[in-house]
Amino acid sequence: MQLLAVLKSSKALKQHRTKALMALGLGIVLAAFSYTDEFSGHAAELPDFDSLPDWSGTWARRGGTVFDRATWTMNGRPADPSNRATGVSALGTRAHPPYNEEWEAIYESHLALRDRGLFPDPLTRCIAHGFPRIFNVNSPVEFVVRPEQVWILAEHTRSTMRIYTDGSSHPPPEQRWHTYFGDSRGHWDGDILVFTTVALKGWRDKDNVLDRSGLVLSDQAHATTRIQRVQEENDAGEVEDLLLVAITLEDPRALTEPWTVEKRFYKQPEGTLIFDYECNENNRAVVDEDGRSLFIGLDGEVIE
Amino acid sequence: MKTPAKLLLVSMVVAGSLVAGRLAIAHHSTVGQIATEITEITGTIKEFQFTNPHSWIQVYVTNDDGQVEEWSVEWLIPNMLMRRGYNPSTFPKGARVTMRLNQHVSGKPIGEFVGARLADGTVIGDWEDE
Repeated sequence: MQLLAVLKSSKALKQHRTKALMALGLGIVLAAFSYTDEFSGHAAELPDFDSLPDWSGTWARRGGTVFDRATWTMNGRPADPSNRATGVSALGTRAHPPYNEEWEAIYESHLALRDRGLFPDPLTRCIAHGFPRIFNVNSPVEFVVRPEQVWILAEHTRSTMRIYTDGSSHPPPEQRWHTYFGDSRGHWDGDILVFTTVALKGWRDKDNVLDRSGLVLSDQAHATTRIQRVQEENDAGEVEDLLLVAITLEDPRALTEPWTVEKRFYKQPEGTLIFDYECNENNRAVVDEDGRSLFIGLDGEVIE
Repeated sequence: MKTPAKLLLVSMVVAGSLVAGRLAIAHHSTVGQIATEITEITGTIKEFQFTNPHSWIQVYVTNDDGQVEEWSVEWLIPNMLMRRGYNPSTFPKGARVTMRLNQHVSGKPIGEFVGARLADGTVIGDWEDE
């Protein structure tokens, strides 16, 4: 605006105002392109909207809020005592993350704290779950599929995960900002959404975990996720409609090999609503310096 | 409140049916803080805090000394309750209620909701008649 004011007040430039404005406009357009190129590099064309799958409606996860089913507990007790001992999940596959020695020790220390109710889960402080924990909380999600982006709208912590499908690339490593959700870019392989995620916070600030057992990765973790709509027959012989989420996690600092985990989100009956969720509205549990989450009495004092 | 002997009987009757089917309070850990036995209280609804991250039911209860105590009973996240057909009017202010809960190990009047029956016979949550 200041530049326009100068153009308007200058008699000499007035005669050339049209050309000057055109040049200014061209400059802005070029600047915008160079800005975009710096971070992405656009695809030649976007996928046609009509070619994209219909993932409308509300979807709810089943199968526990942990990735590592080998260490799954319910109310402080092992969900299946044999799992912890054998490291074999109920599905028959090893679910314990392939940590290196250093990160296995970190995880074991978290599990020990978890067993005593002392692991400081960031959710207790209303910190958003981020990725991949968005697939590991109780509340349902919605998927908004558009040619240039897919949005995952999570009720829990009111989070939105954006996956760019416009052909753009991740920022170069030196320009990345590591966040709870990281940076996700992907494409459509037929009806399968495939995307990679980088620039995750990980455990660098001790406030981002993969699940409530204290499973953590480093800020060097990255993931390849595939989501597709499938029909599966359940134990009762009924065919169910679901979105199968398969995440392959890699972490050169923490894992010795890629680790693939799966989550299933089932289509909910039509009319199933997602509601507002403001975690700080009335949080009557606090975390003390030892990691214990405590109740606050009516007098404002911690109940011991 | 009921006598300890009656409480124990209630616990024995209902505990078995509750352990398997109950949903855990997921927002925060309660390991070592919440008793597994069932405590039963009878009183009047002061307020139903239909709020995130968890709902709380405030209940006035007259104790054995004739004094009114306020109990705080934590329940699930309101979003989940809405999808199960509950709403902010589920516990009307002033309603008489008998409520079962897992009490804090301190013995303070605070705990986690199990089930309730209102004076009009409406049953809420997990409840089996004795």
